[in-house]
Amino acid sequence: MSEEPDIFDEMERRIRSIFEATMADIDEALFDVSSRSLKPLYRIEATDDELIVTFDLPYVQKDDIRIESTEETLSIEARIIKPVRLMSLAKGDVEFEKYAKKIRLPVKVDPAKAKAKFRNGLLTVRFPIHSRGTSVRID
Amino acid sequence: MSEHKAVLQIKELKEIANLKPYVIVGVPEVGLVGTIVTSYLIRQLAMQEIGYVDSESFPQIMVVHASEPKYPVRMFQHDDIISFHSEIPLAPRASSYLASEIVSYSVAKGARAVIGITGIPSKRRIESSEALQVFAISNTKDMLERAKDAGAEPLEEGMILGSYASLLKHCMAMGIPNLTLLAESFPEFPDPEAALSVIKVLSRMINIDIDTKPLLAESEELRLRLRELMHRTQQSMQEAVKLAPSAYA
Repeated sequence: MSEEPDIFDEMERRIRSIFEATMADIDEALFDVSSRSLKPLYRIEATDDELIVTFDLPYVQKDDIRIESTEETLSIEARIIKPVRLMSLAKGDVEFEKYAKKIRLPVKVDPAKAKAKFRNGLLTVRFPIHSRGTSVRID
Repeated sequence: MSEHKAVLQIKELKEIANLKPYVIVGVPEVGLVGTIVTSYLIRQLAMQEIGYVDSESFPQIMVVHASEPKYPVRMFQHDDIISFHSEIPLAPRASSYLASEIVSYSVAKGARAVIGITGIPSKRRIESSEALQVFAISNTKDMLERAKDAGAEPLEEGMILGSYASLLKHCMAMGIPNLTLLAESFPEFPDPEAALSVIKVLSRMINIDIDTKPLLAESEELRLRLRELMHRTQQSMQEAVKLAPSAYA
């Protein structure tokens, strides 16, 4: 028995984490009572040379948004202008004060090259994707 | 009346006769444009609740408003306007049954037209909230001309999916005028501004006087409150999209 990590274990782990990330997004509640935060709606779009993440952040001012990124994740937090109460049993009598969301990005990015823009309550974060291609010869 | 009567029923709480109505349909789809428009019309015109729709194909949901339990798909009336309004996203089969019965009902009521309202995903929407275009699809030249005169642009090439495609299809099959108004909108965020641009076209077309200022003022709050409905609608629309070649018309 080898002590080295098995390549198949590693593959399975990665597949599982991708699967879990996808499933989490579908079933996840859009709020978190303990941190009084709402999870914003967002979309991820990849073009040939850019990864674009857009968040819907109504009731937010530009100066109240904090964005953090690593090579693999993007986190945002934004204060809501005035706390909101959303009626529903599951949410109880809670005033939500902010949006908070951490996204696992589908490709590796260079966080230092990210650009963000906030307009009409929409936050757009763009990462350049450089595909340093190697030419492939046809035999 | 139609083949789907067994699985889906429209129940009138008040008998509607001799109206020759416009039947306006709003169900949650692209940008929730349809539901935002119908709920706004219901409120601004103080439309009266005149019935509901029930079906075994609908999810098991009832809603409560002001302590009163309600069916999630209901119908409202004011003057010669009848509006079907759904508060829940519908799976493809359910929305197809609904479209079929709405069209049968409209034929039986001698409706002048069935008007579907929705959004059309637009890439440039993110850059601009000014002058959002409204596109129109109709099976009659007359309705298309009227939509054009009211500021809509006839859609020349493209496709529509889901409930509104079903409505159009059943209207064509039954030989009744259909008009589908599609505002440029965000596909996956609630879009009250897109709804506003449709209301402007619609009010000119069917001569109703609607104050649009409150909708603009409430726009951000609506976006916040409609997040969960949008999220669930996205999930159910993905099922419909799987069956189609591309979501972008």
